[in-house]
Amino acid sequence: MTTTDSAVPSSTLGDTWTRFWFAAVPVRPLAVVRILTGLLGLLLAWSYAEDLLLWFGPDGMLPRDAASAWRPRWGVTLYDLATTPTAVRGLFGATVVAFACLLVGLASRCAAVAAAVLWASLLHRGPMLVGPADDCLAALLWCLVVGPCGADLSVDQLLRGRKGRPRAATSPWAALALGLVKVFATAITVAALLAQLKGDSWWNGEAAWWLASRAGSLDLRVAYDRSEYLMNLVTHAIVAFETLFAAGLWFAATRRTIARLALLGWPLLGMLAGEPLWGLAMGVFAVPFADVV
Amino acid sequence: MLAAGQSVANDRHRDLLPAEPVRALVTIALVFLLIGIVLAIATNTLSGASPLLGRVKSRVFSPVLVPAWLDVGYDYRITYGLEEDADHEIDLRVHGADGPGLLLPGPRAGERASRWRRLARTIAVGGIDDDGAPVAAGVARGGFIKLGADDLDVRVFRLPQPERSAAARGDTEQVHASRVRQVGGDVQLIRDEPPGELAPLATAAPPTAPPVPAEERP
Repeated sequence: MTTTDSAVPSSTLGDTWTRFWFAAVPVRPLAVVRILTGLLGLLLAWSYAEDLLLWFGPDGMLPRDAASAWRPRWGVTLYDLATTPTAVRGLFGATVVAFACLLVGLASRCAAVAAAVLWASLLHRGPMLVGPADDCLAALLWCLVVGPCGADLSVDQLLRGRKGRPRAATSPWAALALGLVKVFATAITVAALLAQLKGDSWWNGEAAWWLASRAGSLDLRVAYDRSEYLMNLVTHAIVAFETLFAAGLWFAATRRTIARLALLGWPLLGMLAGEPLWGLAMGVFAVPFADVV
Repeated sequence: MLAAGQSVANDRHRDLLPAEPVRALVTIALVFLLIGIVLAIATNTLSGASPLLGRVKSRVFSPVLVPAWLDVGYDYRITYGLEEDADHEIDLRVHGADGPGLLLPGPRAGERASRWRRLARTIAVGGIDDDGAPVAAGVARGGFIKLGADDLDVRVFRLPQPERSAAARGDTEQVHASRVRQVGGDVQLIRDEPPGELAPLATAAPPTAPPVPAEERP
């Protein structure tokens, strides 16, 4: 059963809206999103950990005034209050703990709120370091905040079971959270697609070559040298995949197939683009619609 | 008969839904968020933003979206194959010294290295006001302690992109150079401008006649 599989009949626009956002759906897909988001958060936090004080320490390379000049109005960060190395480490440690709690499902809802606030705070502290995976993680965390992400596959569930409380297999708030996951997945994909299609390389089929020349990407230049058609094919396949993903999630007939394809497609695209964690993050968006759990 | 059955189903499942007032409140929040997401995408593009949309977003939606890191354009072009899409590196050296400096990202790999490359690109390409100098000065301030000096050269290199049609590879190109020093607690940045970008010297003298050969002079 997916987010939109509901027995609430729809006859009007209002019914369709209610069914999409509020009809109770199983909580397990959201629990899987929680686990994967926690894992992704830990991976991304790891990329900050080694250089944390070199960037954000009192004598770091990104002084607070330089970073705040970069921030838009309303951009706030708790790290502005951290004036000592211990305080910076403490805030960062709290972020890691929040991600770990999400991973195991301990105080899941509170952990989701804490992780979302602390992650946004970290990104605002050094906006020039932020990449696509960081943006996607922030969106995923806010989706978890609104849903019962700890209702299944979690320590929370175990503790509730010991106290003899019944397990809720479905929830209308899970529909809300998974609906947001779908909206963000589509919005991110469409925005990326529109940005790509403004460049010639995505039309003349050369983008795959330039992707392969980026540091950390899957280097297929030898293969592309042998066959220009292969390079064109990969370029056009990326565009086609993104188009199919953005549209296919919204039709019951194609949703599961497209989502399953995306579980492979997004990580592969991430590797091709030299942004493997972005690929994983986009894969997490596809998980609840693939009916694999 | 069918209508009656449908009505019963409607009634049963409406019991499972959140209460009407709750749904109404959540619907308002959802509409606000959805419009905010669309505006964030429309106003955070490489093509710029219309003043109207920018104003509406900043007045109504930014106070919520910006702190939550949701005012994001998600415009991941990944690459256009342009020079600025190439990887960038930062090189910090003690001014006037020949010793080894600090190359960033250096041996780092993965997302950790990507963050340093983004920082280097910010210095080269610029961010707000298209000026990466404040970021360069900040990086140098961190480098003062790391390198144990108060006078550093900050350079950013753009790594060559392999040509697809020709075997020739371009050279690494220096795209930013500045000297950053700390004098009496103040950080000074002296930008090292490429000679080609300097304005030509203006001469007040009018065009002169061709010089007279020496043998013709009296």
